Amino acid sequence: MDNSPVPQGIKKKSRLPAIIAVVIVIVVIAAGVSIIELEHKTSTPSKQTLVIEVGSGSMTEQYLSMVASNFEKANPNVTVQITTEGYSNLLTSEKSALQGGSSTPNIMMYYASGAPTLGPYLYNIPTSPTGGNGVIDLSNQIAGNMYSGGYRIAPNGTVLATIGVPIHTVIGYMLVYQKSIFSNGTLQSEFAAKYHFSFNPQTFQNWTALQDAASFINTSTSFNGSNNNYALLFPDHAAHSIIDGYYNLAYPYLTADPNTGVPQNSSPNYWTYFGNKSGSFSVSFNNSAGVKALEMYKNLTQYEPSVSVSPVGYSEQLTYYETGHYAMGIAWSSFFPDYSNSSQSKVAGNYGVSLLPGGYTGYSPTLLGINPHSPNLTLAVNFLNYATSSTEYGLGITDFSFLPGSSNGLQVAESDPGFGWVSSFLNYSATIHINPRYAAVVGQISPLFSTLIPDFNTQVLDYLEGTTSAAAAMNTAASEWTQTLANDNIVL
Amino acid sequence: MKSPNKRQATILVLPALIYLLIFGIYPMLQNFVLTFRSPDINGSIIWGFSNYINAFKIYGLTQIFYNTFLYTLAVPLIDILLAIPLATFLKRLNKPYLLPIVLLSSFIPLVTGAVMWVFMLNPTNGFMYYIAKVDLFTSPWSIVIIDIWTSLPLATLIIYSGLRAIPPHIEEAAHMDGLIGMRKLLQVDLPYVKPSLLSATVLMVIFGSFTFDPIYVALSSSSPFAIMDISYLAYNLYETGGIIGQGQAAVLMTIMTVVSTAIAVLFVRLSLREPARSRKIRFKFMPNREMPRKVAWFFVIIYLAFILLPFSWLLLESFKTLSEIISIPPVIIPSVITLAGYFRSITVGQPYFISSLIVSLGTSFLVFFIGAPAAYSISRHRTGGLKFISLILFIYSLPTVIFMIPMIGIIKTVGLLNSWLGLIISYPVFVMPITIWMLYNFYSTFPKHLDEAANMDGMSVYGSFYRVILRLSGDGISVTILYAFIIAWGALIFPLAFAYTPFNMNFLFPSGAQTITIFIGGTIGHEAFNYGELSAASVISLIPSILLIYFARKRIDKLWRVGGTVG
Repeated sequence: MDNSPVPQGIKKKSRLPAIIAVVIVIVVIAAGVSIIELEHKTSTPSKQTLVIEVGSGSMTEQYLSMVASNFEKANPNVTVQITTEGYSNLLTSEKSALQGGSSTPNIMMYYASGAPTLGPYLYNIPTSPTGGNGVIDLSNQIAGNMYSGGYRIAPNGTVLATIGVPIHTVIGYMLVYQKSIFSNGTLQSEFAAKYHFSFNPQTFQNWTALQDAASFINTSTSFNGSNNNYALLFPDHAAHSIIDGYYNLAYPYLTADPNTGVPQNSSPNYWTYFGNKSGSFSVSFNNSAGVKALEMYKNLTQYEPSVSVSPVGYSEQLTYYETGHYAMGIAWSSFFPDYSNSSQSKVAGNYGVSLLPGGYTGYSPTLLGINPHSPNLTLAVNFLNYATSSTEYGLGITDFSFLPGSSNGLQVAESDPGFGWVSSFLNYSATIHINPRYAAVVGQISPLFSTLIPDFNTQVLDYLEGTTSAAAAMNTAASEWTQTLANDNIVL
Repeated sequence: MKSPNKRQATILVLPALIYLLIFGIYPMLQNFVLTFRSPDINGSIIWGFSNYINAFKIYGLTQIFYNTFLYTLAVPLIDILLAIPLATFLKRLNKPYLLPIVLLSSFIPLVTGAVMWVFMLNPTNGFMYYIAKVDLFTSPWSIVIIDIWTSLPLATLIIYSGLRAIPPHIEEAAHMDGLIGMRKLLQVDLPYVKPSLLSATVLMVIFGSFTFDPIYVALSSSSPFAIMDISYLAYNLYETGGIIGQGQAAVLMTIMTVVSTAIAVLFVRLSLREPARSRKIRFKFMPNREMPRKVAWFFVIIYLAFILLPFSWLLLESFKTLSEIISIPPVIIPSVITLAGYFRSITVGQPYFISSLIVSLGTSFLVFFIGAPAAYSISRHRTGGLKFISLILFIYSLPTVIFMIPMIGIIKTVGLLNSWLGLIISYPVFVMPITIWMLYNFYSTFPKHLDEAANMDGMSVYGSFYRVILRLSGDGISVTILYAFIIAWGALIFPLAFAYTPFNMNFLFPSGAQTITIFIGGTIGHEAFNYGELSAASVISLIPSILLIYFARKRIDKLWRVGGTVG
């Protein structure tokens, strides 16, 4: 009789045979894998692989997918793999790969704002005035793009390395407008009679002119400021867009006042927030020019939903403008292909593009850098040369409305009917002179994104919401910035 | 000298102890050392207290501390106040299908839940347009709402399990005393389930104080400091602030560690304290009749509407074309159904889904193999006594961000960055404590005669556990693995820190380990806003959780109630 109180069904049988069987299976699998690997290595001729990491859904992803296919056809012993990464993770994942010494990805896409973070780790790409095998043609690059993330610059302005090649020119901001509104003869006459200048965004001389146009449109019976129709879409989202919006708007105010230290013809960028006064840099906006710019900022945001209801960030600049509910908008050039997409955009075929009022704009290119741990650096450089060639850019312009990153590429775009506005941009670019010492400022500020931008945006938001004055907002932001730089031992 | 049984019981605990010391305590100590490291004006490293001084000068810190305080207090308070009635209604209605539906929002990835709410609360494109045109994400209460939506079901489950565990003789005695309805709830039920209330409260406090995922998703819709808490600030400083940022982040995490230690100590003391003789409070003013079922149904439907509305909106969004998603005013029912988002999610998102599946399965089994023996040993043989339980609760109460920087060093040293194995060995630090705690409770009520019988049969402690106890622990083990899988499936911070490319779709030579939570969080771009793809990917990410809840629906509350076999 089995007196064991152990519940029935529990069998005390040896597990040794089962364990032995499992071990044998594992050994067989491991052996099989090893054989496959050995055969793979000995029987297949070595094929090189280039891994390129790009932002998911970006225009560069589309363009490089096409380029990759063409490059493989031209180089049969090369496989090009495009991997994608979400925008919010792109920079951190690439930095992790570089810091970790990983050999992939071989080529990395980054935005201009990511240059200070990745710069110290990226490959110093060989350059020459003419280019060649494994060498980039520097004469084909646009200075504004290169100083916006293509160079790694020492604090004294010395260019330490060429860390990236602009693949996609992103111009921002630009002014977009619904052509049907501005070509309306009645509106043109009424506007000219009231304001005494042309109802044509291409000719607006300053932000006041834009404000006048917005005010006029807002009160016109054909497009009044109600029922979801608004005159002007101006970025005012505190999550980020305020910092971009302000430097674009404030640029003419700050450069017009010599006390700010912001140089003329420097093109708006994050460096606009700093001015060179007596040889050293300090914040540029806590003065009457900066305050005036901020007041204009608030004026321009009154032609859209209140910032406390629906602030306008990247997403809204793209999606809201497509709804057709806005007469004008301030936008990045990277959104234009979406505006032109008739399957989703109600302004397709009906929007015009101009530089910002006063005829200027900024550069925020998308760049490609090379991982220094890549096994074949020459191949990576040659891919960059191929991707930035006029031939490939010509296809990108036609197939994707892709705005090239190089000078030759932009000249090809200029002749495309869809890029008529590029001429004005190229003409403007010819007037730009960026002092490398000035361009180097931003790269030294490690807390720019973590601390300074949130500080600034919060102050501006408070002003837009009416809880502080423009002067107080600028002074507080400047004080916070100065204190943060001092705390972090950063001397510009 | 230890008896053989004690020695064996200790060996059962050793793997878990060693793991927690290496991956839990060591990173915490290293984080503390980081607090003293900062660069001087020339960039050289110096050691001192400057991080402690400068951390408190971070702009917006007051608002951030306020937000942290709000999440820590408001979330558990509101959770418990809402969970008690809901648990009572569920018990009153006694419909087995209700609990799994209620639990949905607790068992999905936090990032998916946050995406649902961001979509829904958008005052221009979202359902919110039809309620009030205000941007709720300017207020931290938006995060409180999301946190409550996510954590309320779990709090309800714990309390419900406690209510279901009230012994029949207590119920009968209450009936004989003439106590029913609200009076019975207040005089009998709630005092009896005090341990459950305490567990739920502490878990919700920990959940609220270390809120991260909803902030990560909603920050692009909010102003900089409006919703940020210390956990997110620390993460942001680690990622973008350089050496200075790391030092300041380490200071903030040290502060949070002190707070979480206090929580853990308080919980241990309260849960192990002898229950005080409570005065019998007679709630004579309370109704003494059973709540009508229709009333219970009415309130349950309101709760279900709160829980299910975001799911519904997400599902609708996933089938809309982009022009309908961004339409002003918002389109509720799509006029054209599109599967484009799903196609793109499945094709582009495939590597991420595979990584999530493999890492979650690997973590679940690792946690089971290490944690189950440890839980049994602590529970049945009192190995480590109070100290081990305290250690587990202490590690559970630590903010996940505290492990980031030190663990990157460990995983990089063993060459496992950006790999499945790197995530599998790191995840248990935040998964294992809760699973050990659950199994500890489970084995505490496991029939002791089974161990005695196995011992009498000549089995060692190992034999007793592996050949007897484990075989009869189906309920506990399956639900524990379920919890471990779901926690791992929804993890965000560790994949962000330890993986930087997606799986290369080469199973023989795999590389890349980014998970589905990163894919979802990263679908919103700088140039493209793939809302259709985002909502479709979010819907797909719900599938494992829904399947697991369905298959474990009959056992899901048991782990918080009784353990093992009856009798």
